[in-house]
Amino acid sequence: MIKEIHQKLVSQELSIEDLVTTYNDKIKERNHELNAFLSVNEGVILEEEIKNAKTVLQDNPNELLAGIPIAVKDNMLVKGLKATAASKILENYIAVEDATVIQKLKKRGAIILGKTNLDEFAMGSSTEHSVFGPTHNPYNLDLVPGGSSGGSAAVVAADLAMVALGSDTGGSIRQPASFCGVVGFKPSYGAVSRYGLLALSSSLDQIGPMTKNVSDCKIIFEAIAGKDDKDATTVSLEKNNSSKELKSLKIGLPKEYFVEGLDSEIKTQIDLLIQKIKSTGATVEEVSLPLTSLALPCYYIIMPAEASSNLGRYDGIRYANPNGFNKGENLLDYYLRNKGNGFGKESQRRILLGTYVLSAGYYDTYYKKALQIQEAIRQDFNKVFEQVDYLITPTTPTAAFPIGAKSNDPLSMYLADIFTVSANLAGVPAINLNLGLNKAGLPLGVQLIGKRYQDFSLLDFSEQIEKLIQS
Amino acid sequence: MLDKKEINHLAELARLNLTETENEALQKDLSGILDYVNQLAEAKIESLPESLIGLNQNQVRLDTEPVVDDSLADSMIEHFPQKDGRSLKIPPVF
Repeated sequence: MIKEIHQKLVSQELSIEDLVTTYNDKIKERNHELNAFLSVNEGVILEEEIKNAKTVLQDNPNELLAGIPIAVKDNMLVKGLKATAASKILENYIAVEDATVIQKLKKRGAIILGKTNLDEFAMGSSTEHSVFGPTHNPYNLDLVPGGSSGGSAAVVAADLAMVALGSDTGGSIRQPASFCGVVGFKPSYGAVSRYGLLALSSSLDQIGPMTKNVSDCKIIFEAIAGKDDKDATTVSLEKNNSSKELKSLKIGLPKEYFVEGLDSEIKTQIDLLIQKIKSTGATVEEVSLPLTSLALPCYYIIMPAEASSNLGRYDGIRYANPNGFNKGENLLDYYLRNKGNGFGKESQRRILLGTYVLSAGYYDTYYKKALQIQEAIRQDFNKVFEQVDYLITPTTPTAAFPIGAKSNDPLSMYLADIFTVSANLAGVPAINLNLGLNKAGLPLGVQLIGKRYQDFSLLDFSEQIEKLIQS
Repeated sequence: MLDKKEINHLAELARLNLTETENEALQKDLSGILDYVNQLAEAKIESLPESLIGLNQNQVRLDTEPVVDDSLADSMIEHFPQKDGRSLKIPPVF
């Protein structure tokens, strides 16, 4: 897609203005039913970006991203645009600088089309916990698009943007990508700078591309990856020079992911894919990640603990309510009157849960134990990657579910991430590819997992698998 | 099962003000989630790793380029609701 559009821009068959107008028209036509974009870039800022894109393309006709329209999840900062995180607290907050990923994309001439809907502060698996209302799945408007990057997944699926950025703390890129039938990539922890991403769980958060195919995903990932002084966790990744042929690879199927509760159509589609992989001569074997069943409970201790600390900054003084302050009798009273009036239900749950697991007397039982299990999970992945090159698993246990089906039952909502959280805990890269549609016409996803920092190899492998799926 | 008092205590620690209805819903929700995560406390795993280095080595950098440009600070001040010149105005808390 990007390469084709790029050719048209270079040959002047298509102008950057026309491309942007086409997308803006599509947004006008469909966004009211999808509620996927929260705000659309327009006016002076958009004009400057178009001007910049033209200069970049003139200076370097090989610059693939020049003029390419990108949607950005509304928990990342784009200078001059609102960054609401789908929260009442930041309803009117305007970013004063660009996140590192945005700086990098703009430098290469990409155009920010607008900001997409999410669960408040990226906490959720359905985009229903947005103060601006749920996003609807483009395949069936009664269903959720997944979450928390549901807006980004929906705009790519409905072609309201060519590509989008999402963020993934426990599955928030891959799960909605699966529900909307697009490619969604969570890079290795440390591959992409989070400077300018509103922090949820800092030891797990990662930004990644959501695209229509793996080729576009690679282009965006190459543009945003790399070391950044403003995020001390980042490293420079080595590019993969020798992409291995499929037939020389060993692929593992972790048996703990193919269990009761996995939708039978997903199982059948993955079996079909495995047959195709085997026919290329690649080795496929069953492997074990024995702590898989503890990954989700482990995640629901570490993530709320960090979230309760990170959300402490929305205390009613910083990011203050523009309507002014409620006066308090003393400092505690002041906080009680000003902080939290804007937090939605799911944010309240996670803040209190985090406060609980970190409080005196519970720290060892919960938080320390969770960190130990996280380390053990990481070691399990290291061991399994001594046996095989890549892992293949389902991305989600089921296809997209109806809006409202789980929004009042937090635990059943959390289970939607059961196959995705392990990759965040272990810091390894993982990607969702679309397997096709089920009998009801809904997309089903498969997840490919690679070794930490071998992101480029995983993307090359994904491109080969994508070809097999389509064959 | 967490009771009303415990939820109130957590809410005070977190500086959140909850309504009665919110408190009741949270008693139920948090108790359910805690039952679920208790699997960890009960998990019998041989030789849990003691060292928790985490995913990353610590990285440091030289602070060679101090911020000399005020424009970022200026735009942050500009977006604050109540101000007096370059001072941010908040209600007295002491």
